[in-house]
Amino acid sequence: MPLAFLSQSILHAAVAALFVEALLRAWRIEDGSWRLRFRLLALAAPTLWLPALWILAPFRRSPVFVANWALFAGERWNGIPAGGTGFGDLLLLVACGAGSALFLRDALPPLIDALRGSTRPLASGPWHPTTAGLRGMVAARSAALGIPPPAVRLVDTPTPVLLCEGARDPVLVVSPPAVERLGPDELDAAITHELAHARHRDPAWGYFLIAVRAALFFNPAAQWIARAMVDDIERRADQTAAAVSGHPEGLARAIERLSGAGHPPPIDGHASFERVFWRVRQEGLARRCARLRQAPGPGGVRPSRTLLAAAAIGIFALVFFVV
Amino acid sequence: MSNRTNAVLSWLLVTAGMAAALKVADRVPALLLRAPHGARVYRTVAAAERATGSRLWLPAALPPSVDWPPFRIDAWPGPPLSVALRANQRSAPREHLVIVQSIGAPAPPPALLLEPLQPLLVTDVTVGPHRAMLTRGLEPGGRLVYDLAWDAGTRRLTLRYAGPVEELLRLAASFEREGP
Repeated sequence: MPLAFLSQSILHAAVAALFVEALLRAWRIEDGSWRLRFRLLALAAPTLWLPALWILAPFRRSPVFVANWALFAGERWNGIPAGGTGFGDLLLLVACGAGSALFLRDALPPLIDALRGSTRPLASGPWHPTTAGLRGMVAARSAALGIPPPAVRLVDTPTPVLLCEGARDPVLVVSPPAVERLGPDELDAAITHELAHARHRDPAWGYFLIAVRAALFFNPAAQWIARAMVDDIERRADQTAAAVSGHPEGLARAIERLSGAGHPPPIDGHASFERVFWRVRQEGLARRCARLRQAPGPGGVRPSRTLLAAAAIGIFALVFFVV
Repeated sequence: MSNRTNAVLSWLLVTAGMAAALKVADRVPALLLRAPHGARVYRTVAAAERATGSRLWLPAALPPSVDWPPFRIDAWPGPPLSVALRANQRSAPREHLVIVQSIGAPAPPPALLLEPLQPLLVTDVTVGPHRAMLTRGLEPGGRLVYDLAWDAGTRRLTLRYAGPVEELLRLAASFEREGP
């Protein structure tokens, strides 16, 4: 029974993720806020809908339903022998391993950093020249975004850091190298991007997503959906920053400068896995910059609640018959 | 094409595409196993009995040409539940004997488990105290086989055998020694 639940959780997340991705592409929905809502529907498949179906529709697990009605039944793959067990169970084991690896890959480094205390606040207070220089810019852009200006915290680290944290009270975290590396337009756009995170309460979204990922650590498809949601959160902040600052090109340059500060992992046997992740991250950043630079193309379907409801019905109808 | 029509068509296309892809993927195990789609497949009698929660009736005596135990057991959930035990010929990897039993109520074997014969000759015979129907006929592949079917309590047993009819009747009689 627990294996059947795990298997359905992975299958439902995979079906929902693919369905939403296909719809986003077919409808050409570029708005970050709407993309997030659609992805949230996909994430609801393994987190809300599956437990509800498990309790409210137990007949889905009956042999008659599996034989006559199921669109896809994971247990059928167990008929194929694979090293003393069923092929379905073997696939489930591999999928759980992949899900756990994806979760640990993203969750462990920040945890280790936090335990090590790798960044520490600068001893200097608001009178520090970096803070003083930023204060006016932060106040102006906060007003434009309709939010109270968040506190600015300087961290003492040689790497450029510019981020927004704090689920309840957002704080702008900055390191001096980040400010020194960026030109005025770039800094303005980058600050506006971080303030857009504060406006949308994105740090709270971050905590929510990490909690869901921890609960579904075994589920590679759910891990993928959560990662795609992080990309959409960044896309939404990019779109807001580009509209408010009026410098999409400056924001793209700022992203390139700040991301260019990191070096690829060394080429040796141990770091090959890390290099794959590094390359994927770099490609993602390149796509983000290209999106900021390109002129808006012919619009797709205008997103609406009706489309969201249609996507929800589609996901529900499909996963109901996946057992 | 209007925006709304485009949205509806895309939704239909994506939903139908996903459903079709799932259905195709669902058929892969049956294709690989050369088993009927929808049936549950078991490797051993013990595994089938455990999963179905029913004791399967087995022959007490088998013709020497039958390679026993069965190489595959297929279960169709029904209702009623039907289980097919398939055994090869000892001298060649070719299906030689199929024992289908409906459990809980007498019912003909589902076509998924036992393809219907093209009957050539139908005769009434007895198996122990039961009246049985013996059919000589052709399988869809053109092979000449015998089907023997009779009801015993809440079960119907159907045997398909590609060997001599005398061996089939002895095999059927041995069920009556083994049954309840």
